[in-house]
Amino acid sequence: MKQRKRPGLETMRARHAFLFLAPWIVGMVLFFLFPIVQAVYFSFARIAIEPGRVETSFIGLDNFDYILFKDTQYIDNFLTSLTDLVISVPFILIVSLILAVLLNNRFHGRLFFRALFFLPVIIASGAVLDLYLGAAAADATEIAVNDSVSFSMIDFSQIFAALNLPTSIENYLTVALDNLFLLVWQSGIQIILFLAGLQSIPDLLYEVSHVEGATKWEEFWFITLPMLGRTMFLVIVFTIVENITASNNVLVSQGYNFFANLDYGRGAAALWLYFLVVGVLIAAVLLLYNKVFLKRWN
Amino acid sequence: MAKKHSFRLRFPARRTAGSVRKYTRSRFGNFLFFAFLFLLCAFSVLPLVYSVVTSFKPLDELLRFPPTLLTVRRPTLRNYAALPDLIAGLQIPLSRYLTNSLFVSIAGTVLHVIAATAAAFVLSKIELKHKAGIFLIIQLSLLFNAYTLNIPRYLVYNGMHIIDTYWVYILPAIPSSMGVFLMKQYMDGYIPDALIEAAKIDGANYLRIFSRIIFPNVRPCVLTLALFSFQTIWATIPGGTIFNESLKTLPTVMSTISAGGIARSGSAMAATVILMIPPIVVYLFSQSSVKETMGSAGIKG
Repeated sequence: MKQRKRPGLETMRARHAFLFLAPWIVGMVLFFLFPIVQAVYFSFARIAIEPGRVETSFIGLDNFDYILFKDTQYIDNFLTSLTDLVISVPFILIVSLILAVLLNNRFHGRLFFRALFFLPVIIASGAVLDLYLGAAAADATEIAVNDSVSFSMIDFSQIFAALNLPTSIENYLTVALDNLFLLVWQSGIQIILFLAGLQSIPDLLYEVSHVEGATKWEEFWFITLPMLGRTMFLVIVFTIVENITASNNVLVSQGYNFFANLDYGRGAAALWLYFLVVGVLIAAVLLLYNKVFLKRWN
Repeated sequence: MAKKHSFRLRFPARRTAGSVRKYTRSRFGNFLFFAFLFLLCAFSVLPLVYSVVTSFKPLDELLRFPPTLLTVRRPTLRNYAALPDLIAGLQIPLSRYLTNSLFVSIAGTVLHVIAATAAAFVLSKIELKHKAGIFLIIQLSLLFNAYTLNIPRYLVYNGMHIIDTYWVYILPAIPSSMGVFLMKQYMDGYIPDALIEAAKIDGANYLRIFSRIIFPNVRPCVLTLALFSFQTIWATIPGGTIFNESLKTLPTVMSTISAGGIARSGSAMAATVILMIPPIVVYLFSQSSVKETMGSAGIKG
């Protein structure tokens, strides 16, 4: 085909295909890839922002040295946000799975309920959420909303104390309950993903297990959960990503503060290190999940 | 309710294909089921109700501690009425901000949907070198927070000479990775390759295949992308790239209001409530499509 003067059909086709990709690729390079490479470089540099241009000078690992050894908050924030990740991801997974199973039942108004749980995804993002939290904080009601929503009438710490739970579990539950409304708010997309996954499970499996005399409980553990393996994978990734990029993440907001003080190099270093560690963590979790669960379930 | 359920229970085997499973449950079970559902529902809806209620509170009720969550004794529209006054200080009419917001949101959404669908079409249905690599980059770029890239992006805008224009809102929204990801998964799941092959044999070129076959068949996904994109652009406050007051959008203005402290918290809530309306309207139009699209995202994991 290459010997011909005029391009052959396949080459033409490939060129046309590339035309379809072009708008998106150009945008991607301009607004994602180039900025990402630039930001990596910035984390090794000192940045001075002047009107219309940015002066950079390479300073090696100084930014990382600063955030790790001189900054008093970075390590703390790092641990806080990792703890937050470890607490909220399983919680969101469980809540959204339970809700999806419930909403998958047949009852009146189920479409209404589904829409209701997805509503926060629509309204509670970006500036609207910030504005909401800002407005709520302005009249000191954020705490009030949080508390009254997470049952301030019932003192959970006393119940936990009475139950003699290990401290770590008690702490976990306390944090989870404190943030309950934010966590439920963050479950919208996960619920939809699980719902879709549930509906792709063939009815046949349940009918067979029904005939064999399995209980609903057994059906859940031996059919529903294994069949949701792939969906679960997607949901885990999505939830982690949403958590580490959220603007109310402690570490991300510390990074923002660096930016706000025009300390871009340090901010970039702080965030890169975080994304790197979390990236490795995600990879480890997913590998483990693949090895342990998906293998067994398939 | 219970009656209906028990009626269905007698025919547990009568399930239509693809329909939802019926659960067998006692009356007490039903009660527990709905109690639990309503409880979780409350978590989901209360903050929304709270912000609507607060936006109707007069000043003295706003200052009360602890605040009443769901009741307002003397509802007032003052918070809403005060909004134009608060904005009047900025010397640009409110309608201008609204038009700006609608214009950039709609233009950005349309362009994003077209670019994402075209790219997904190639990635899903056309043989091309490096396809897998490109898709990997898309998935990786889902991990990045736009804020991290603010300053490098500023440099790009500056190089393109588009600072202080509408392009700052519209252009970065076009290559949003989520859209291509969802659209590709949807096409993989719902558009059979045979359809494309048949069209090719009939002599249709890619443009024709795209406009006549692909686009009409991915409508649910298009609506979903439109929803996500609209809602993202609508809520964006571009940092340090828009200085001209007449080019600013609604959220920028609203956030200056909420920065006004405790006396303005009522108006800030009113602003929040107003800002919530357009995404909800878009959602109502695209609601049924969203689930279908998200469902296809899980097909291949």
